[in-house]
Parts: sequence; C-alpha cells; structure tokens
Amino acid sequence: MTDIKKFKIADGISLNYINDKKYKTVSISLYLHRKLKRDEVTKNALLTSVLRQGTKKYPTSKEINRYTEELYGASYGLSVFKKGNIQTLSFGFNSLTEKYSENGIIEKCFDLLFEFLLNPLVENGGFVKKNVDTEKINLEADIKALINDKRAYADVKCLENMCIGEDSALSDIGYVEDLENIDEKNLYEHYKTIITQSPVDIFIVGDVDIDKIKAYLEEVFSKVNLDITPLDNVTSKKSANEEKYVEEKLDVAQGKLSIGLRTNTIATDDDYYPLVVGNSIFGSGAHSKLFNNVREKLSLAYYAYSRLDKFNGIMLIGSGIEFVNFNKAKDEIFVQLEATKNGEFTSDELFIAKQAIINRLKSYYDSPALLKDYYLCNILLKDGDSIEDAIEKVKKVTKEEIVAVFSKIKSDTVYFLKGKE
Amino acid sequence: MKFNKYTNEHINETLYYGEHESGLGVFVVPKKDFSKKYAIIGAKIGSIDNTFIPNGEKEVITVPDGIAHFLEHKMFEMSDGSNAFDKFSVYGANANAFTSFTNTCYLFSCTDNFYESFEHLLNYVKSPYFTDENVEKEKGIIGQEIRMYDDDGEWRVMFNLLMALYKNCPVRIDIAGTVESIAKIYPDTLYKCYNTFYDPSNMVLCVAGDVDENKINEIVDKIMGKKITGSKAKSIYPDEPKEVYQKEITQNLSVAMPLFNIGFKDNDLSVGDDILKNEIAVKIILCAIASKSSDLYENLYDEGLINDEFSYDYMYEENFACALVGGESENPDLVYKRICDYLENKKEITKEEFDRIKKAIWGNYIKIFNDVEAISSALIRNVLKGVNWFEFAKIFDLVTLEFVNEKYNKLFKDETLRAISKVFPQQEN
Repeated sequence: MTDIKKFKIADGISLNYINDKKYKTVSISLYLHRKLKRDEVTKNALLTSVLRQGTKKYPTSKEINRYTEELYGASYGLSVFKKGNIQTLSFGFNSLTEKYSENGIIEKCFDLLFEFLLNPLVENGGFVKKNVDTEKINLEADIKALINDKRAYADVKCLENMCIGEDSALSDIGYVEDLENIDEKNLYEHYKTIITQSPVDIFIVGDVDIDKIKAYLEEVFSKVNLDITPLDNVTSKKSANEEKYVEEKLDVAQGKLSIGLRTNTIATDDDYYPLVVGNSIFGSGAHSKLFNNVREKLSLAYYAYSRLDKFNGIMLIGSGIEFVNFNKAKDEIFVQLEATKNGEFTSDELFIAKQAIINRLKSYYDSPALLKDYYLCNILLKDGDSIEDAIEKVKKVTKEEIVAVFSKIKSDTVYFLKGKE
Repeated sequence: MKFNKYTNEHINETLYYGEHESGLGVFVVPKKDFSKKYAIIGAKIGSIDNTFIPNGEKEVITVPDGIAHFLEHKMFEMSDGSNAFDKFSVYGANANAFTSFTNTCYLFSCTDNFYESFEHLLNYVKSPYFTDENVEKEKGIIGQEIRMYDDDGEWRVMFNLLMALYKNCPVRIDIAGTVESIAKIYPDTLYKCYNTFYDPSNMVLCVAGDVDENKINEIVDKIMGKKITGSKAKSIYPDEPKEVYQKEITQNLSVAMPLFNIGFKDNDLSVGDDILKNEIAVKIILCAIASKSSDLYENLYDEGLINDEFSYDYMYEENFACALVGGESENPDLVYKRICDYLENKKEITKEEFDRIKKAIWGNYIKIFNDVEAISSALIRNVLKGVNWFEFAKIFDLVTLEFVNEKYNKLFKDETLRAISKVFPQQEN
C-alpha cells in the first residue's frame, strides 16, 4: 500500500519518498544521526535550539515565524530524539501542497530548512553569543522540567537506575552540568564537524515533483564537504541485573510505579513479533491483562501499561497508584506477567491482541508522522520489515512462540516515586 | 433519514448531514483512500451541567461535581457484565471517551470491521447499566485519575485560573470533581443524568473515513429507533458577574520552574456560527500579540522572561469564554506586567498582522482534512456548539479587520477582565 522510493543523494545521504496523493500537505523531515555519546548529547540538543533562533537570511525567530505564516502557516520544528544508540537531530516541515496554497511553496520550505541547517547566524567565528547564552538557560530549564511530568519522570529514573553506563540510556536532551563548558565558539566547531560527518536521511510524505527535489538536494549537498561515517549497530541487548528496588520521595499526591525488565529481544530478532503480541496481551491497551486486572478488577489505578523498546530489548511497566497500594499493585503486575509467561491466555486474547496491533500498523498509512517514524526505524535497523510484512508476521504468531520469548523476560529494576510523609 | 449533500469546492471535500428521526444529528465526511475510519458520538452534557430539571420531573436538582465524567466511565459497563471495550477489541477497533466542560464524547477508530464497531458504539451508548457494585468500583479508578491531575502543574495552573476568572460558573470546578464529591455518586443519580441528557435530540454523531453514508443511515435507523421522546435537556447555569472573581491564585507543587496562566474573561457570548466567528477573531489577536511572530514574544524571550513553552489558547462555549496565555517563567509577575503594558500601548491589530495571520489560520484549517480523527473532532466540537463548521470559509470571510479590532478593544483593553494563576515550586524545608 505504501510505496517508498529511496534515492541516494550522496554517500551517506538518502532521500526517502512516500508518494500519497490523498494528503493535502507535504511533510518533510531531515534526520541527522549521531552516535549517542556522553560528551556530545548536550551539545547536539543545544545546537537545535540555537539553530532555531535565526539564519543569515532570517536573523530572528520572529522573522522566521512571520515568513512561515505567509507560507499558509507552514509549521517547522527543530529537535532531538533518540532511538537505540543514536541521537538524531531532526529538522521538520509541514506545508500545504501547492494545489491548496501557491506554486513553489515546497521549495521555499526546503530553502528555509537548509537556511537552518547550513546557513546559521555567525559572528566572530562562532554562533551569536546572545543566542547561545539564552538557549543554555532554556535547555537547563527544559532538562529540569522533566519533573513536571511525574509519569515520564518515573520512567526515566527507572531506566537510569537500570542502565547505568549504557549509552542507550543517555538523555537525548543532555545534562545541566555540561552547559557551563559550552560556548558559542566550541558549539560552532562542533556544528561544523557534525554537519559534514553525520549520516542524513531525508523523508518526504505527500505528492511532489520528486525529480526536481532530488536535483535540488544533490545541488545543495554538492556544496558541502561531506565525509560521512556510516552508522554501525544501533541496537543493544543486556542481561538483567539482580532485581533492585529504588525509591524516591517527592511532594506528590499519587505514587508512580515504574518497572524495567530485560526482554533480550530486539526488532531484528526472529522472535520479535511474538514479543510484540505477548506484550499486547500482557499490558498494551484496554484488552490487556494489566488494564483488566490492575485497573478494572482491583481498582488500583487509572492507568497500568507495559511498552517495549525495540532497539534495546527493554520492557517498561508503568502505573499511578496510592502510596499504600505499592505492594498490592506490584504483586498483581507480576502475577499477570507470570500468567502471560505460562501461556495462561485464551485464543480470544491472542486474536484480540493481534487485531489491535494490525489495526495500529494499518493506521500508519494515514499518518505522515508515523510513516516517517516507522521507516526511519527500518533504516536504522538496516533490514526492518515493511508494514505489510510486519502485519503478515503478526498474524502468524503462536501461543508457543509467545511463551518461548516471554521466558527470556527478566525483571531488573523496580522504581517507586512516593510522597513525603 | 434523508441526507443533505454539501460539497466544498475550495477544499474538495463532501459532507453528508441530516437529522435522524430520533432527533440525532448525523454528519459523515467520506474520505476515500484513507485506511482509518473514525466515529464519534457526543452528548451535550459536561462538567458544567450540575444543576437541571431531570426528564419527567418538575424540581431542579443539583448533582455531585464530576458526575458527567463519572457517567462517561460507567457507560462502558454492559448488562452482561462485560466491558464495552471488549467487543471493540474483538473488532480490532481502538475505543475511547472523554468529558469536557460542555460535552461527553464516545469514539473509536479502526481500519477493519467498521460497521460492526459502529453498531456497537451506538448500542452501548444507548444502554446504560449501573449497579451499586460497578459504581462503587469506579470510585477507586477515578480517584486515581483525580490524583494524577493533582500532580499535574499545567492542569492545576489552568484550573486555578478558571477559579480566579469565574465566581459562579461551574467551569471553575474540575471536570472529574473531587474524591469527596464522587463519593456521593450513586446509580439513581447517574440514571437521572443519563435520561435527561442522553436523548438523541441532545446528541450528535460524526463519522469520517472511507465509509458508505447509506450503510451508516441503516445502522442509525436500526439502533436509534424513530421515536422522538421530545425531552429537551435544560441545564440551569448561575449568573456570572462580568469582572473576574479574583485577580490571582497561587499554589505550590513539585515543579521545576514557576508556571503561569493569564486569563482574559470574555463576556461577549454568542450562539451559532458567531461562536466560530469570534473564535477566529480571538485566535488572530492572540497570534498577533503572543505567538512567536509577535513583538511581545520576542521581547519577553530576549529578556529571558519566557521560554518555548509560552503559548496561548481560547475557550469559547455558549456559556463562558476566555482567552489565556501561559508558560514558564522565573518571574510570572513581571511577565504579567509586561503583557499589561504591551496591551496598554498596542492600539490595534494592524492590517499587515491581520492578513498574514489569516493566511496561516486558513492553512491550518485545510490541514485538518489530512486526518479522519481531526476532521471528526473539529466537526463534533463545532456542531455540538451549534456551529455549522463546514461553512468555515464563509464564516472566515466575515471576520474583518474591523471586527477583530472591536473584539480586541473589548477583551484585551479592560483590566477588570484579567487574572493570573501561578504555580510555584515547593519550598525546600
């Protein structure tokens, strides 16, 4: 159903085009990949914020935004995220198609994208000092703001305690303590290095004149002195440590339980789909054991779920509960995990879990954002399945396969955020 | 039911709409080539509907806060002891529901088995089943939902603002109520609410996706029946003074940086398409004064008083309306002062701002048609308010610069209509 066309723009630079005429928009993303490293995560995160503040042609954020409003409210975003061992700098645009706006609008979006990427504001051989200083303060606030979302905070804390020393557990938005040693000069030096050495994947979802855009991109990148090192393995697996319990106290009304487990199974493994289906039975959705027991039967929580990290072989379970119900909730979660491991689920539960996953996969066809994400993962994984293949593999999963893959799951870290007495 | 067909040439979209014999309003937007189908049915009962005359009675009653939301949770209970989610799961559909200040909506999306899921949606919303046991059980679950929001700084800062803006209007009460208020909810009151507000004439259905409007018609006929009960739900809302109730509210929570919301109480309420007209006008104003393209944003950002989290919103219903801007700042009071000073000096929205921002708003409207969920959501939100959303282009054209400036002067120049809510980090002891 989705036809993805791949073009090589230069060594290490790919163009991926998902042509679908049903959209009234064109969605563009440029992903620049870095190996997650402790000594550069903060710089990369700061870089996207600094680049966002202005370019040579549009020196202020105000001017950029006035310009994009003129482009029928084309939206843009510069940010970082991580997948597996990779930290990706993302430059995204979402514009109306020419049919619903004006001729040349897509090229204007690309022009602005490359203004951000290749034509930043520079003074005295560095970025603009004022912008870097401001964005350092803002990034610090952003890093500290994790605590505002207690659910996300508990998950991050659980993983931090579980994956000590693992690159994949590094924060994609960086660390406060790194900021004092970053300035407009060394950040600019870092920028110049990564712009020439990092693999880049460009995605377009919509309906465009792809030959024209391909020629445009070749022209743009012919002017950059590229020396790109390809990515090596982006996934990682590790066995569970002896189960540990970590507790933290904050002024909160609700306790947050977060449990990290090692599945030892990643997206490229043969038993990956049984893991996905098993996870759906266990903890993903209103049909799952966690929802029906922790929430519906025992009324312990409003939410209780499990999710998988397909790059790192990790399962994370989360639930928000009364402080006093910690043992009750934790015990019930493990009872349900054991039940799934023992194959205590009906053929209906298996069927329903598959239905849920297939429905989700098929709905990717209607979302440019999800399509980009899905196929970006495939590129990073080297040989990921197409959506069609994934659906077929989900259909074939058996109970025995789920029991086999679940037997590898081991609990590693139990984290509990509770209130101050 | 006979569908009317409306084709919008500008955007190449078609809408089928009609009023079913039961009184239910039905809206269908066919989207060929899309895999996902989305259906949503909404009743005009929200958290502000806590005082009303129950269907078939004469006396006004006041029900516990949070009951509309509680009712939403309990609608999933089926008389055979199953949960409405169960059947959706078998069809591979993804179901959900939500309660706002003014409505309660039930929805699902799916790629296969649409008509089966659709029939189930109508069926379960038509079949309340409340028992002492299942109502009691829900109190624990919703209690945890309330606790979750108690810890959510952004949620708290907004509700505190509403508490400052409104003296009597129940919009000042949390949608889910409190642990204490929901303790007083029992099956009989739930049935009273249901029988009063879930009459098809008080409900609207919207569907978008690759669906056949005639099949939808058949299923609506089958489930909703044809008899009009004629019950018109009537909530009673208290009078609300024009000026704000409190100038500021402050709370401490475990957040990293102070959060703030500044509100502008809009007393200029209207009905029907004028609601959308006002909404577009205020969005233009807010974009001109508080978006990244504005001078104010640039000044506050350069001064280090705000960061990327700074944003704005406008709530507009038949019974209340307010504009708000909010974000994070080490010094919310200074942000507030700067905003007040800026408004004091800004005489009007300029022609340049108006033209530029209107273009962006038009673009954002077109973007909605990329997504069946966005279409149905925008549609139901508007039709429940009585707005003919498919006439967006026409209403959009009625928003003139003069109208925008009239609105600007009324809403943003009057200091008695403003309040601020702040959430500060906990003091370390």
